[in-house]
Amino acid sequence: MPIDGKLVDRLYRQASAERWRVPVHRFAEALEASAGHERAGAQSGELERYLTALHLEDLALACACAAGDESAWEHFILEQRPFLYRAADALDPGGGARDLADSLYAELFGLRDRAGERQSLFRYFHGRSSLTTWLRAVLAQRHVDRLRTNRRLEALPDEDSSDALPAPSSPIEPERYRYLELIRQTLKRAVAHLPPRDRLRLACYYAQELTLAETGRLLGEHEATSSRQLARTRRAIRDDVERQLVEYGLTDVEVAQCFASVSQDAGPLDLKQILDVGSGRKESAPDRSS
Amino acid sequence: MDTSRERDQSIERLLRQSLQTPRPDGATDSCLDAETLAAWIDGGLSGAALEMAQTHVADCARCQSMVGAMARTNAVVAQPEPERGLRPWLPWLVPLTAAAAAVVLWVAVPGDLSTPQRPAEEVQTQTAKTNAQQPASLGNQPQASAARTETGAASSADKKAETQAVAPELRKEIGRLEADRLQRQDAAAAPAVALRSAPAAATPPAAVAAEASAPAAAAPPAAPTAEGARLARSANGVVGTITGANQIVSPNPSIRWRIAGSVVEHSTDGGSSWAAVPTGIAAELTAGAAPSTLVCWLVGRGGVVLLTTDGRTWRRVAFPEITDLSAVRATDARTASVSTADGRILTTSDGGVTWERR
Repeated sequence: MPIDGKLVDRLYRQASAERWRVPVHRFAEALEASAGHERAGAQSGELERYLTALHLEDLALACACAAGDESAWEHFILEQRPFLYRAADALDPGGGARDLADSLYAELFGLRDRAGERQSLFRYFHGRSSLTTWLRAVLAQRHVDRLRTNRRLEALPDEDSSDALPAPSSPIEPERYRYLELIRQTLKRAVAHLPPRDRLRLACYYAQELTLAETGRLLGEHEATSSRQLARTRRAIRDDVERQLVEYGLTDVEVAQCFASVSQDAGPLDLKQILDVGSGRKESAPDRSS
Repeated sequence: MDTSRERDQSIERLLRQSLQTPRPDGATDSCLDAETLAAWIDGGLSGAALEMAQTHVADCARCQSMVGAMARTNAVVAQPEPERGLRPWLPWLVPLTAAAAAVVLWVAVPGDLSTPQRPAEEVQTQTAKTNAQQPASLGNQPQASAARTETGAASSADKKAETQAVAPELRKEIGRLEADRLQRQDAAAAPAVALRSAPAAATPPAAVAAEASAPAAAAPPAAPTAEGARLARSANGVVGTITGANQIVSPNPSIRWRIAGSVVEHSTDGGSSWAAVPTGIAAELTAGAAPSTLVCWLVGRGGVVLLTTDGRTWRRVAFPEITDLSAVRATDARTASVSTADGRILTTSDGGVTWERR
């Protein structure tokens, strides 16, 4: 949807877009693309609020870089590369993410020609975040996708290789595995019953190991609130698990054994793999986190 | 053995295990794109868009990983550099100038360095107290005061130009002074390390305590001065490290480690250059202690305890609980005390093979 010319001019000045010699019409297109992406602008007041809240200077810089302005590129590289490299090192301290960071530059510059036009990755930047955060997000996305792809491609160790894990030497306790499986199933159901926001909080804290402060920031709440909510959610899960186990027909003693089966375990475990051991397969690695 | 607390621990353990198990689901149309994720992180999502994003991520392993990856790189933006225009620097100009003045004052007038220092906990407490009194303590320093007045007198345009010109130099200078300060402090503290049966620590001169805290109190949270770590030695000679800025300094100040999130870096030149050291751990590390130049203990969230005995390769030490760890003190590669986030202390005297609650 076209944006009022006066508003474009004001935002253009606000963005200092003339510094990079961004044509006004190009900047207006970027604003329109951003508003269209967000589906903002049902009312003109709402549209203006949305556009004014954008990271306009970064949007102007992105426009200039997408157009191949040399001084804008120089500024962008000088300003963003240290952040990008440090983000890459934070993602993979072994340096494995640096190549991802480097490869981003080619895409940002837009080497691929489509109908004679350079298509830059910058066209996906709409100014709703800072350029730094956007670059981190692009890098994080690439990194995660590569990890997930590699994980899928990882071959299982050969039975005879030294990597193959030995079969358990101690006799398997089928009753304990039954309890583990029961409590795992009930936990899964209990988590599924939670509101999405509670599940997200659990995922941030337990799966991604974010701090309470980071979790809180993501959810727009104070870390103390995150802490309280996590405690509340854990209580709710436990109550639900206990209720389900009783409904399943377990006695109080058996319910207690279910919980004990978890706490007796010596280390982090992947229940599925542990259960596979019971069916004659290999034991999981004792410590998945290291 | 089936107490309510144990059941809670079982639930927590199960949650950690089941939620951390890799799930194979791939990208879908509703997965967050990088722009939306970035907008969320920067507070650019609201209303239905935010709710939609949260609902999706709650059940999408891929997007959860992306959110986690973003969080791991958060520290990157908290660090200073590069030259990011003028405006972000302006709010820090006054405290930076004051910090520089405070450091200069301290370097120029060193305290009684032969006085034994307090145990780590006491120094931390003192630092916290001084931090709380920041305006008053700064106000008592003529140089800081003068700097503030001088800065305040400058016109807005002058300030802008001055900031641009001074900020990088100021940062370098503060870093250099802080490094000097650390070396002096370490040199002065060395005899105390050698004498394990040293008498109980006396109260350090007020000036030293104030100096130790002044730069940190005055500097912005992410300023380079925050990199200054304070090495503390307790009365009985046990070496501990205050990781005020996540630096763990060994008895030889040239050798040190620093942690940021799950990243560990090692320096052999007093912090001038750093090399990343792989640990294989994704959990956030929170504290460390380096009783020698080769031995360093690190602790982190979820019961993570790491130990190196050659300075570079790390092994995970088994810890009896999955709980967040907040501090560690160590005398060598066998003996260490670890504090949990809820205030308990566990000690080992066999390199982590067994742990005892104290």
